[in-house]
Amino acid sequence: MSDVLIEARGIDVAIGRHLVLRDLTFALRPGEFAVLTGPNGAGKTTLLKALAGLLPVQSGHVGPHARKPGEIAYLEQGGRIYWPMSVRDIVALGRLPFGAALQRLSPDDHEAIETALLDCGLSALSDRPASSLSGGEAARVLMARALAVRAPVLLVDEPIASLDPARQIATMQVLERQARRGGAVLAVLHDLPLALRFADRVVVMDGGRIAADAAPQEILASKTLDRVFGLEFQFEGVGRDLLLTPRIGSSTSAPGPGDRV
Amino acid sequence: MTIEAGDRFVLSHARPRRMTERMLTPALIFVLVMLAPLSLMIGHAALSPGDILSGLRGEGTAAIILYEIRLPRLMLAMMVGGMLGLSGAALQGFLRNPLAEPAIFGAPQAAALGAVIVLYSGLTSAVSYALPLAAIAGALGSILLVFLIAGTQAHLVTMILSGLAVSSLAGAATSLVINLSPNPFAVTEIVFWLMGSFEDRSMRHVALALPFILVSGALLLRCGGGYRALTLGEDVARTLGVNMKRLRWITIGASACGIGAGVAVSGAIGFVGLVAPHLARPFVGADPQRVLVPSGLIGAALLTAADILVRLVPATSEIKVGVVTALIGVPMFLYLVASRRGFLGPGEAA
Repeated sequence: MSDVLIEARGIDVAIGRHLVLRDLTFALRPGEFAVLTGPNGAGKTTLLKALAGLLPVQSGHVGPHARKPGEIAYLEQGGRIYWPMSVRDIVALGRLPFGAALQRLSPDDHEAIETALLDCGLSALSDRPASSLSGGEAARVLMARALAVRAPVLLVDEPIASLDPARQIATMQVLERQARRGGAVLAVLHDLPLALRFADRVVVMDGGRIAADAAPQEILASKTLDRVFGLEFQFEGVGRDLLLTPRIGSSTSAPGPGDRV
Repeated sequence: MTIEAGDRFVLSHARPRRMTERMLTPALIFVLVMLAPLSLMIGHAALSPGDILSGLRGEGTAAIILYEIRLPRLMLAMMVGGMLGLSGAALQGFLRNPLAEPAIFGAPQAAALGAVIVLYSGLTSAVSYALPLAAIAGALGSILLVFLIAGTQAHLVTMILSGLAVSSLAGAATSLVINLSPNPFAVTEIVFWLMGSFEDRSMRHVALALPFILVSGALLLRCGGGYRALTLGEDVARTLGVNMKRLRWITIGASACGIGAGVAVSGAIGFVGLVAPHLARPFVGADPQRVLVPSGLIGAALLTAADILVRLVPATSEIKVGVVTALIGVPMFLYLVASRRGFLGPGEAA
């Protein structure tokens, strides 16, 4: 399909000698806000990295082939800020693919940086050194850095994991807006209620494969989540009003060899 | 979500005042311009400013002193100091680690080994391109060996330990060469040479090192954007268009080339590369790209000043400049390690 912004076709990806993704096919189109979820170790981060071109694929291919820097923005899971630069300077790193030196930012660069700071609620913190930020604030800075790229494809790995509830919702709205403007967003999320309320499309991974890839309502109806997480989910309402909770004590997964029963 | 790399002591430098940042480079150039005549004037035969002016025009004995001794000495101190400062800042940026510097990889020691082997195996006269090439090979070997042992993603402690081992190995091999040397005068010469000095150097030494230092310096300066992108780690840097493989090889190769050429003409001078970036950060902030140029200038000023200092200390034989930089640099290194004690625990990636 010609309007595919990014795709993986039949890819196998290994980390060391362990094959993490097996014959996986996935594509993202403009305007889509897809959420990638699944148990720990399902291969979500690996898929994101393979799509970003950060991991070699054993077989299959990731497209498009000739990719220019700045066509994909990638937010690393639990990313680090190694030098205590100011918040604004870190967000400005997102403009590097366009040849922006910190000393000579174009009006476009400035606009992208200020919008990203605003979207992540960082305008007041923009002159603060990164070392003085809390974990959640630093996470927002990294998110703003990814947004500042203004890439057609946004790949974000657990963008809301360390945020407070208000910021989680605000970040989901920013991602949604990105998609409404014609971008393609793929976010790895563990917060299922938020994921299902905001995303157009939910991709559930399990054991290196895609277990389900459908609209939130279909995913809920198919009981895929119950199956892959080994939990019994209860839900009511749809869209923004969705309420989703796993029943406590509902775990159906078999105890592992080391687990106490 | 963690913030790494020495925030404890770079913390207050994150928001530099724009004024100081803009003024730093001109101020450092001014310092160098002030140091230069001092370096030309001070020595066994003191020269007045008038002597220097006439000497530079090629008149009288002052001309001989200037062109044969003082000018090469000044140029070497600035070149080597600049290279050390720049490569220190580049390696710190590349490894995202404020404790990195060429000596951590044993590069000067290994370069010295290469040079000593060439010098005293009689392969070459003291002034030929075989000397810097051997020193460069030594420096390159040490950095590659450290990366081979520790890996480019290595834990800081692993990297320092590997560097220590490589540096000890190079030291031991140099001792072996000295040990096997049949000539006691040669032994004294090697030992003094190893301490690092700009004494009795000529324009030929300048010509030997200058091309390597210029090329290496230009290459490292071009890597600034890559080091800046690495502030967010390798993966993000790659998505920002940084070619990590190229950045790695240019950083290693250019550092080794510059350090090797410097060591070949001046002996082993350590710790300038560690200290210079730390002196620059209060003015320009933690951004690894902005630190590069000031670090080079600070390195040049430091080494020029140290080289003036050794001529002012009354002693029977001149104190070696490498000894002075080590005496200043080692306490600074220890301070940095002590202030980062909490960060050196398990789990921190370099």
